[in-house]
Amino acid sequence: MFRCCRSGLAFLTMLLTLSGCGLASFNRLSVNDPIKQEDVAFIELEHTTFTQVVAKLGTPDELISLGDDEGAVAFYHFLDAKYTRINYGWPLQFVSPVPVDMILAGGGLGTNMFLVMFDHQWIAKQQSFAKHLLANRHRLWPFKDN
Amino acid sequence: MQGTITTRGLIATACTLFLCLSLLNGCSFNRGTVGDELKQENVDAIKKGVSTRAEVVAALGAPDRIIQANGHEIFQYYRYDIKAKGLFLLILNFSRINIKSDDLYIFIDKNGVVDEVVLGKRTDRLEFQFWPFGD
Repeated sequence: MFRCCRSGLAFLTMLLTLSGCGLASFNRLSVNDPIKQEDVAFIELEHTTFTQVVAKLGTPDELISLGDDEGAVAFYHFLDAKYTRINYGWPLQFVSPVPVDMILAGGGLGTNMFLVMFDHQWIAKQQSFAKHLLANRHRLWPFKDN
Repeated sequence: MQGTITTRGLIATACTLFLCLSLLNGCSFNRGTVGDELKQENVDAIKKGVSTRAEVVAALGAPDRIIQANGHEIFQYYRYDIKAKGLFLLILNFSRINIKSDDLYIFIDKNGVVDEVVLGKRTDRLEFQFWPFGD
């Protein structure tokens, strides 16, 4: 999760440097490739080993111990963020003697995680997605409820 | 007569080029990395059942993280690669930032000897993209 927060911070910083001065900006940040349900269908609980998981999905982004000889959890993080910024006052620069800005901006940070829990022999015990990926979208109007 | 047409053609081309250039206000390519590259030859030098903890550190440096799990000491090394591209038109701007990571895990047993080496590379599939829509 710490890594996702860092990525979010990097996203905001880079938005400030990448956002131009035109009428509208559309920006996106992707961290790693999303893992889909069909990608993890091969995992059989109580059978699939850590090595087999790594061979199919790659190395996990994070590995956390559950205690001495009590197993470990492998985390795969991925993130997709979209951000839109529209300056509705931009066209007025052609008729107004002073610059007029009316900027509306919005976006969403869609984070997702896939977790596999391994026992003390590195055999998969449990797997699950933490789903928040639907939050990512370009928002042209930031005043809507969701 | 032919010379006149050529001159007109040149003027038309110049005007079109000028129009295109005024619409294409600018573009940018940005690149950033976090951590050193995990070189395959350095990883290959670490032998399962032979190399020791000290040899791992000598070859790869201190790990970014150390995890204790299932009787193993696990050294984690990671590297991030960032590619960002922006297309700044007169009216619209598009930009996209892609980040991928490489991770290396080295499992060390209770005797301080390497038990398993797991390397995953994603950064070789990292691309410069500006289009922020779609999958």
